[in-house]
Amino acid sequence: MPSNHRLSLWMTDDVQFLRSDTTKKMAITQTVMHKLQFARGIGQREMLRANTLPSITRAKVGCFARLRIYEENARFVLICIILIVYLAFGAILFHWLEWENEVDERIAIDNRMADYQKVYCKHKPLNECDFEEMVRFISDGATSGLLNSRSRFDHLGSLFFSATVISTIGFGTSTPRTHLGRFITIVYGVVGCTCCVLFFNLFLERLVTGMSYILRSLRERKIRYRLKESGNKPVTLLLNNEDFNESSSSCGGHMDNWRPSVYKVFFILFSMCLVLITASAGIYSVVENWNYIDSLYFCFISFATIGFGDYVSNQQDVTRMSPDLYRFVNFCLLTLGACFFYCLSNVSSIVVRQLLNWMIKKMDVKVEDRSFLCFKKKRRYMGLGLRPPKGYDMTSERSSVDYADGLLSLKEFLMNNQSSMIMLQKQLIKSAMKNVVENEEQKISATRVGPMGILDEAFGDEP
Amino acid sequence: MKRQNIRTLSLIVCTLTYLLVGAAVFDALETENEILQRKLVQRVREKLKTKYNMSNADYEILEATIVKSVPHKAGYQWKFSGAFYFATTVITTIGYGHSTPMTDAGKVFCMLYALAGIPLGLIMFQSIGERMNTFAAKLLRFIRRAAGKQPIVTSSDLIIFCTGWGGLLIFGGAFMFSSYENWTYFDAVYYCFVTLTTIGFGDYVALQKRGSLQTQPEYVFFSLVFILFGLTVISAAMNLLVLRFLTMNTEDERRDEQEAILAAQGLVRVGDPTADDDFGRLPLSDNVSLASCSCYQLPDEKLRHRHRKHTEPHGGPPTFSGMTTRPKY
Repeated sequence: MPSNHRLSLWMTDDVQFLRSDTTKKMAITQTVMHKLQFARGIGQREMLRANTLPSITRAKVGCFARLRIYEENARFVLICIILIVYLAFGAILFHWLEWENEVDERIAIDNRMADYQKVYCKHKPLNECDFEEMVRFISDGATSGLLNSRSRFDHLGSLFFSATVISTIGFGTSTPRTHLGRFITIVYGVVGCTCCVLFFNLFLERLVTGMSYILRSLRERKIRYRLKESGNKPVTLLLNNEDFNESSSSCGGHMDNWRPSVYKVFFILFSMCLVLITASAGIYSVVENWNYIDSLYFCFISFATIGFGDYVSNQQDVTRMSPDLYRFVNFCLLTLGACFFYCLSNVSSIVVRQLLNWMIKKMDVKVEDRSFLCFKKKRRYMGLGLRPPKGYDMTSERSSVDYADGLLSLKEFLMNNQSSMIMLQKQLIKSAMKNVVENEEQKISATRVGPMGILDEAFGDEP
Repeated sequence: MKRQNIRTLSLIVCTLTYLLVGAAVFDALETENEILQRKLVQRVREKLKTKYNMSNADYEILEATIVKSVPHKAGYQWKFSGAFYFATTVITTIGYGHSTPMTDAGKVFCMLYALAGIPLGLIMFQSIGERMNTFAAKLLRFIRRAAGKQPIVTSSDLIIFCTGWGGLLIFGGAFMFSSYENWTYFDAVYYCFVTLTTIGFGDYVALQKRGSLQTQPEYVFFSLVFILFGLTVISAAMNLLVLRFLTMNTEDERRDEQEAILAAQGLVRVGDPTADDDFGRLPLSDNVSLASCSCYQLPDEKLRHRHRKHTEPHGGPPTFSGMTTRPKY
């Protein structure tokens, strides 16, 4: 009887271990994992005593888990709210910044137009004056870009237009006017934008991979220097290293698990983009005779692929540089700037997402009383040997598993054990034959799509 | 690593070739029309100068004044609704250019606003696209199961689904815009395409006629919702289109890493290729060992094809440790 009791208590620990796998994406898993690590580090007799502590056997589950709000859905709702608030904030600030200037400009332009009309129509009746027609004609010419003295669709102009199409900058200084031109723009844009997004994503992947390689080399050098300094002293394994997203081991042989910090990569990318945009603004302000703030504004609007079109480079004759050399420099600067800004935007998105995850953790209030807010307490069907009813889906309550209810029966415990061993044997056979071919067709997961997939591979998933 | 670099370089070459081909096509299509338009502009310009007896300097000043007055004819651009519309075009990187900040403070704030807003918009579009792809996958799996087939959803099915929704959205939105703005249907389709791919030329901009920004709030709301929702669908479809190429690259890199690890250590690693599969697998059937002395760490520390060596001391009873002896070949 005492031996059976000890085995039963020991299985309690493994029940926690099994349950923590089903909710690996929950915020609670870190707490359970640390407590399990703490429990495993001591001897058997102390472990028996530790298992009786209520803080281990009754892990607290947050409100979101009980209400079945998944982390992805919580993140989605939160980002929508933040974005709407951000848009409203921007609207208020732009209104405050630009409204007075707009009213003044409108009054000035209206007065000037009235003066022009008075001057040019003073000897004619009102019906015969076509001043308004002239104004409309010049307005249409301005909108379509025909007032500019430079030709728009010669060879180099067409190349410039194609580049603005596939990179989605779209200045608007040259637009197709024929119906066939517009139709070809749609067809050309579908293929071109996709290829350009692919190019940007590959650039992002290569850049992040190179940056990880450099950071890893620096870290290995630091570790080697530390080992050399310590002489013959034994190196302790820092299993609970508090460095965020850093290696959890200081030995050189365990660098396979190392991943670069997303904040370091963000800082490096931000510095590179800052250097690039200030240098480009200097070049444009010299060659195009713009103000430096206007050049900085043009570089930012172009590199971010917003492309307003109020400032466009290479639209007037340049005098301080060879025209062909300036065209080449312009193309290289715009391409390089767009690539680096795309990388910066996506790495910033990872930082924003980690911030959102942190906010979700903070809002996930743990409550002791289950009858008020988290009222959907479900009975477990896996305890005490009970079978789940027919059609009951185990995966539907990933986030709402209660730890405090009962135990797995010994029979199902051994069945799960056997299933796990079968899986282990299958994996061993596969790895031994070296024919591990992942079926990518059946592994559709939305988080692996696009730039988020690249950066998740590089930085690792966050809890 | 060599294969990935070759693929990247070949993509660069293909993109540059595509640019040159597109330049030639647009050159052939638009040059004649532009020459005719330019001659017409010159002729009308000379006639206007003769009629009103203007000098060249006076005409240039008048032309500049009229060019500057173009945004003001559409109503007030920097009231709240216009500013909201402008903020939307900034953080989605559409950038029509119909209204741009004139003051230096407005320009500096526009840069800072976009610097923080573009990642925020990206994470929102990615998040909605993720939910949309997951919902589409579940819907397609349900349809396949109802039709008696195997409930396996591939990336091709998702691409067709999202592209169909994107096309439906463009043509449906074009109908609405052609009725409100009095454009032809083809021009409205052109506008929807230019907007939802965030090219944003600015030759056609919605909400710029008859003071729509102030007098038709329901149309303003429809335009903003159309832009935000349409960008989500189009970006989800575009991300799926680049999925296959990227997974090839990532998979090659992962295979190279795995082969390097195996060659360096002379061991066969036990991997877990289905660790991230959330479709149709029971969580309890994962590789979860019973003994505390095991080849695997805790599930949250388990990385795909990467395993830390076991360094923890033995804490469990010795009768379980024999089940998970480390294999050697």
